[in-house]
Parts: sequence; C-alpha cells; structure tokens
Amino acid sequence: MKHRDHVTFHVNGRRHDVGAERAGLMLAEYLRVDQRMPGTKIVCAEGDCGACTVLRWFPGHARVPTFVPVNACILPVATLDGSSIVTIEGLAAPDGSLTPVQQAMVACHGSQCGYCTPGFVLAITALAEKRLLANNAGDQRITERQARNGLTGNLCRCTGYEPILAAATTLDVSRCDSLARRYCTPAHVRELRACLRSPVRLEGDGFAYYAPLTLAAACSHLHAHRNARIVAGCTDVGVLHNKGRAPIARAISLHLIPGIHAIERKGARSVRVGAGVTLERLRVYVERKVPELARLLDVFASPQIKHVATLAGNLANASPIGDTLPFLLVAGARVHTVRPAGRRKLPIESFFRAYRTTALARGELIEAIEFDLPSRADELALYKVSQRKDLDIATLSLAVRVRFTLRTTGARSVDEVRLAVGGLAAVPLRLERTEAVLRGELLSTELLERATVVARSEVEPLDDLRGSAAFRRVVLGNLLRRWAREQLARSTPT
Amino acid sequence: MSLPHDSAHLHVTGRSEFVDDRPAMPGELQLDLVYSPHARARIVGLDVTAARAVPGVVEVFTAKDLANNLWGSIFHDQPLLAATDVHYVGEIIAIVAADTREAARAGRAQVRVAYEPMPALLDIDAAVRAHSFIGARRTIERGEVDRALPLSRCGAS
Repeated sequence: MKHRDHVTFHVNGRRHDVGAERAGLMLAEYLRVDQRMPGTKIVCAEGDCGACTVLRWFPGHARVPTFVPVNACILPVATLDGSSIVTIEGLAAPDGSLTPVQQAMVACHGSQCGYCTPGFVLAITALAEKRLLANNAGDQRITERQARNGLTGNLCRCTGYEPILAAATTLDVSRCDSLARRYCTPAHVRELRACLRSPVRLEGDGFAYYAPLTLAAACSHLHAHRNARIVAGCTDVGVLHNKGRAPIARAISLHLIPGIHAIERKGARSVRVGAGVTLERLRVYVERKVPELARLLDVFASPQIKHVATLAGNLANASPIGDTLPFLLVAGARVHTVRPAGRRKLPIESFFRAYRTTALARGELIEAIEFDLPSRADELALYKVSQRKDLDIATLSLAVRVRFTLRTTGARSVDEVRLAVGGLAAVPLRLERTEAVLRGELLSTELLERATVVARSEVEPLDDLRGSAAFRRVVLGNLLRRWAREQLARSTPT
Repeated sequence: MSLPHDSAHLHVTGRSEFVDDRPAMPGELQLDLVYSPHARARIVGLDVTAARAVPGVVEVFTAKDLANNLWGSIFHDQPLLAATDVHYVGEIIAIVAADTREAARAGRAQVRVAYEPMPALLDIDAAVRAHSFIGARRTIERGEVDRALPLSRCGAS
C-alpha cells in the first residue's frame, strides 16, 4: 500500500500537509513560528497551564464534529493527522466582530496581562460547544460547577479566577454559533476522513513517524526499531521531549487502525477499552455505570489532557502513581496485547514488573484493556491524595472493591475484598495480606485497626519528594479508616 | 458600568503582541541557560571551551565575563550568574548565545561544571543553627535602646 509522506489536518478550516521535516514540532511552535500565528501562547511547555489551548476534533474520537480543548505545547504536529484544529485566530468573525465568549471575557474584566487569555477563551468556547451539541432548549447557561471543572487546565496568575468564572457563567450559549458548523462542513469532513484511509510514513532527520492501518504492521515496526515509542496524546513523552530529557525520535501512532478507538461491552460484566480511547471518553462511558471511577477521572487531569491521554497510555507508562491503575487492579483487568508471535491476554497483577517496567516484550503493544464493571453487590471506593485537588500527581491512591454478606443480625461481613494501592511502592499493587485480614470478618472499627497495622507493614513505602515513607504509611492507614467510617456509617440503622 | 481593559479586545482575540510573539530580527540570537543541579555546592571547575566550539554557538558567558555581576532592586548584592557557590537547584551559572535554539541547547550540554556538593539547608531552623543569614546584619536604632530594651514586656529573637 502506498504510504503518505505527510500528515493532513485543518487549522481554522484551512488544509495543512506537513512532512517529516516539520511534523516533529509541537503544534504550538508550528503555529507560532512556522505559521506566524502567535495567538497561541507557550508558558509551561508541559501541558499544565493551558496557555497553549486550542480546540480539536478528531473523527476517531467523536463521529459528530465536536471541538474539545487540547494542549498544543505537547502535541507533535504528526499526531494531528486527520484532525480539525481551531485556534484563537479562528474565533472572531471575518469582519472582526467578537464571539459571545470573547465579549463576556471583555465585559467581565477577565483579562489583565492577557497572556493566559487566549487559552481561557478557547476553554470556555469548548464548554459552549459542548452545550450547543447537547442542544437542551431552555438550559443555556454554563453552570459554575461545569465552568470550574472545564477550566482546571488553565492557570492565571494576575486577573484572578472570579472574573473569568463570571464570564463563563453569565454567557448566553444560545447566542453562540457552532464552530463545528463553521469549520467542519461536509466538504471538510470528507477531506479529513479520506486521508484517514491511507497509512503514513515519515522519515526525517531526527524525527520519524509511522501510522499503519494494521496492528501487525505496528508490531513489526516496533520490533524492528528499539527506540520507537507508541504515542497517542503525548502527555508524558511530550513533556520529556520539551524538557530535553528524551526527545521523541521515532513515534508510532495507532490512530488509523480500525477498532482502536472503540469501547465495547463484553458480556454482562466486562468492558473492553481500545488503546485509542481517551480518558474523557472513558469518563463519559462510566458516568452512570461506574460513577466512582467517573469521579476519580474528574480529578485525574485537566480536560485538555483527558481529551488526548488514553487509558492504555496510563497503563503502559506504568508509573507507580498512575491514577487509574489501582482501579484496574481491583477491577480484575486483563491487558490484551499483540506481538509479532500473536495475541495474548495478561492479567493486570503480572503486568507491572518493576519501577516503570512492564511485562510487554520487544515488539509487543497494548491493543485493549478489559475490566469488570462492578456489579450492584460490589462497593467500590477510589481515593487519591495529592497536594491540590485537581490536576496533580498523586502522593498515594487507594482502590477498594468489596462485597458484603448481610448477617441475620443486620451486621455486614466482608465476603470478597480487593485492595490496591498506588504511590506506596515502585509499582501499583494489591495489598493481599491486608485483604486476608478482612476476608470473612464482620466489619468493625476494631477489624479495620488490625487491617491498618498489617497494611502499614505489608510494603516498604517509597520515600521521595512527594512524601516520606512515614507520611505514606500514615496516609494509607487514614484512607483505610476513612473507608471503614464511610462503610460503618452506611450499615448503622438510622 | 466600569470601563473595559483598554487591551481586552486584543487579549481575547490573541492579537496583543508580546515580546516573544514578534518575528525574529535578522541576526537575532537565541539564549539557553546552564542551571545548577545542586541545592548547595561549591563550583570547583567551569569550562566552556567545548561549548564555544559547538557549531552555531556565538558566545558563552559566565560570571567572569561580566563587569558587574551584582544586581538587586534596593541592595545590589545578588549575583546574576553564580561565580563560586550555588545556593539552589536552578541557579544560573552560564548563558549560551547561539544562532538557533537547537544550537544553544547543544552548547548548553557542552558546558562542563565541576561541583563539590555541600549539605543543603532546607528549613529556617537549620539555617539559624548554621548561622546562615541572608545579607549583612543591619541595625536601625533611635533613642536609648540599651536602656529601653531590657524593660520591654515582650521580645522576639
């Protein structure tokens, strides 16, 4: 099959074809330097501050054109293949008149030095787009909760957030025109979908990129090139690249592979999440089915990160503090992989081998992750302790999944229990000895105290800048106590 | 109703021009900085010869190259570039000027600094114990301090 020697995407409705020479640039730099569009700002260059926010629609993530916020500072141009991008330059009407979001930011005094402003305007615009798409007549305001959640990925150091939140919440969304209608006309959509049918191969000086149509081709490329990295949102490798610690020299993208973006129900109890599924799509999927996981994903990261980062990426990164990993451990996850020799299914317990080291062999990649949906009898609790609530790296996280048996006395005994902890050791892991203390026993404060003593001695905790070993031991005990208190409050008749 | 910010229209459209938004001037150089990886250390060697030889690097500056290395808004006592000691991770030791950002980065990687790491003071108690204070001791006095001070009801030290 003929490979494209360029990637194709749209910026404000105009087609861009970029070859190997410039495709390794981060989008923010491509816009600012190559395209002389300096409205997109770069501050942190690691996807934290949101000054570089642009809007993106990728057909694999949403069939209907839907613009969502992403961080342009950590997205290599190559990863935008098939996407439609809208920047701050693309908002105002051709005659220069401001959009209602821009007008609201002016009227509410939402800018002072102005450097973070384009990012905020686009993040609020994304909230308006979402509201327009929902098309709920009569409900045309962005709520304060939606505004706060939607703006966790944008930092401002001088205006203060109150005027910006006021701009978002006073906005009359019914006055907004859909950007999707403006920049994703049927002709635009046809053009993007057409390019998604042929594979891409870029071989440049210092940057190579391969986007095949099959998993087999991805595997053999990964096997042949030891320095190749599978990339999707680049939310970690993009940071390492920008900070000069590990440049992205050879990237493989799975975005053209059919089925990679699918979330599928498997039987009554399981769900299979394709490697291309973003954390935001997962959050929406589990909102009703696993509300506790949806709640954790709320604080996992900013919208900008969640719209590109994938569950598979969180798993492959194998960081001890990966936010979804304790959940996957208690949900009995199976990792579906492909390697040149064929497919296999790895139980999650055997996936993490050592600090940021996985059981994946050379040339092996994650195709999907399957996990159990908690049943009605399961109690699931997920905790994340971090220095701030949103958008932070966890110091410690705990997942508890338990099934109780109701005794005739009205007391509850622990029938089945799984405890998993992140940030305690070099890998996320189950606390099996602690589980054994709980199993079969009546839930009581005394039982939890015994479990806490075992949990604290079960693993020698990490001792680093996010927390000393002693601190982590205390926090682990406190999380178990908090869980017990929540459970006991529930079982006490009122 | 209060007046809007006079630059608000430019801010919300991304058209307000910040320094880094301007197109490069002909001959404009790019700078990169060499930072201390140590919280506290003595600089025992600093060699920029290899960095100067990197293609595209135009000049490398260290404290020795500056006629006046001390600055500050009131007391001019803060080194711009660390000369003999570093006092925090990220303290700047050298500036690399080059034709391109990539060349500046490559030059930065060639600056050789030898450190003798020293124990870092991480909290105020440790600093007091080590008598490590910022700046010279300055005294502001008026009236009969020696007579009045022992009679005061409270004291802070």
